[in-house]
Parts: sequence; C-alpha cells; structure tokens
Amino acid sequence: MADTAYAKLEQEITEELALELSGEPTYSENVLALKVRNAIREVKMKRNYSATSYTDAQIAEDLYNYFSVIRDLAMYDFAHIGAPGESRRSENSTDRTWVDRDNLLKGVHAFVKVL
Amino acid sequence: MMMLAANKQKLYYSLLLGEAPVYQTDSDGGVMYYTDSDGNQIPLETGETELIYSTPKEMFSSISMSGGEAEAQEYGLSVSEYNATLVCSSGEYPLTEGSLVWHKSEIESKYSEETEVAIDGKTYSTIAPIKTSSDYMVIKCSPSLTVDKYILGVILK
Repeated sequence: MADTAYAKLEQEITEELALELSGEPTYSENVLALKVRNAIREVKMKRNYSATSYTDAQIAEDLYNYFSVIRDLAMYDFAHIGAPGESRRSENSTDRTWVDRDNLLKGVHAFVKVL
Repeated sequence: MMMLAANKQKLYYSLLLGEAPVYQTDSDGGVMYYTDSDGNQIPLETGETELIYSTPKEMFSSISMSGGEAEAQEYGLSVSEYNATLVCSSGEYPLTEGSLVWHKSEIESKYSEETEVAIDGKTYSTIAPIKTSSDYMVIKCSPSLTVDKYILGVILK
C-alpha cells in the first residue's frame, strides 16, 4: 500500500512537471521521473522518519505535506542536467547561476528522538 | 564535458558528401537513362556537377548568435565573417567545415526519399538537402579536449 502511495505522489508530481517541461528540446519523461524519485528519497532522508514509529503508509501521507518541496527539488535537478554539482555555468555566451540547492529544503524539518 | 541540457536547442545537420554529376531529367523530374551495349541503364549527364549533402540528422546543441573580439581572435576571423557559434561535447557530432545546419528553417530536399548517388566511385544514400534551405554552414571547426566549437556563417536565401 505504501508503494502505491509513493507511486501516486511520484506520478502526480511528474505529471505536473511534465506540463511545464515537455516543451523543452531535451525533455525525457524517464529522466524527469528519475529526478522526482530522487527528490522524494531526499525529503524522506531529511525528515529522518527512523526517529519515529511511522508506518510506511503514514510516511507516504506525511510526504504529501512536502509536495511543493519535492516538486521544486525535482525541477531544480532537471534544470541542472549536464552541470551536476555546479553553482554557475558559462557556456557559449549564456551565463547561468543557480541558487543554493539546500535552500529548497529549508521547510523540511527532521524528527528527533529524545533519549 | 557534459553540456547543460537547458542551453540546448533542436537543430539539424547535414554533412558534405562531395560533388556529383547533374543528371538530365524529363518533364516529370525523373532521371533520363540510356542503355549501353551490355543492356545497362546509364543516367544521362548534363556535364555540370553539384554539391551533394547527406540526409539531415537531428542534433541538440548550444547555438549562440553573438560574436565578439575574444572569439574573433580565437578563430582568426573578424566578427563580420561569421554569424553564430555552436558548442557541443567533444566528438558528439561529426560536423566538418562545409556541413550545413538548420535552426529555424524547414529542410528542403532534391529527392522526396533516400536516393542512391554515386560520388567519386562510392555510392551514398541521401535525400540530397538543398543548401539554400539551411540556415548556416560550418566555416571553421575548433575541437578541444572537452568541447567542440563550430563557427557558423549564414546561408543567404
């Protein structure tokens, strides 16, 4: 059931981003889905669900609260294809500077376990 | 070196194959032949030759319309001699000087389908795109370790 919940979140975000990005010359649905899956994993890691007793279904439900964060993260990573780990790229008279990726995760707070 | 995907545009390129004889055609545009003593169909030549290009292929690359003094010195050309620069990953596309590039224009060709053309003893299959339908021609190549840069001159229509 959790897999289905994750798949639903992934599918919704992928469909929204596909609406925006499908006109790009190098658009690929598979690559976009990869970026969305990675963004979901990253938010999961940031939330640190291991400090909770959440079930998979509850985790999947909680992730929906971070729909826009996951979406923005996936969009950022998709726009970064070809320049991994870079903050600035100057190429053939086009200069691009990216905001710090960590800023996108500012609204995601980790669970902590009090010992 | 990977190129930034967001900077890429969809283009088409065609390589110069060589010079081929121009054949006589009938009123319908079909090539005219004569039959030799062995029964072979030989196309009738007009005596003229023309440049033949390969069937255009799709490519994704960064193209820039800007020039500048720094670029002019790098390529040994003045800014008035070229109109655009194309940059792609090293060895990604087999462009050479004389290759054609389509950016905004529609590809027009001599033949509606792949046709065998004999050039310098070799046979090539091509739709023979028309040079003046393209937007640019590669006038200089500048390969390096990580990227290939191409200087493009505009094709007057």
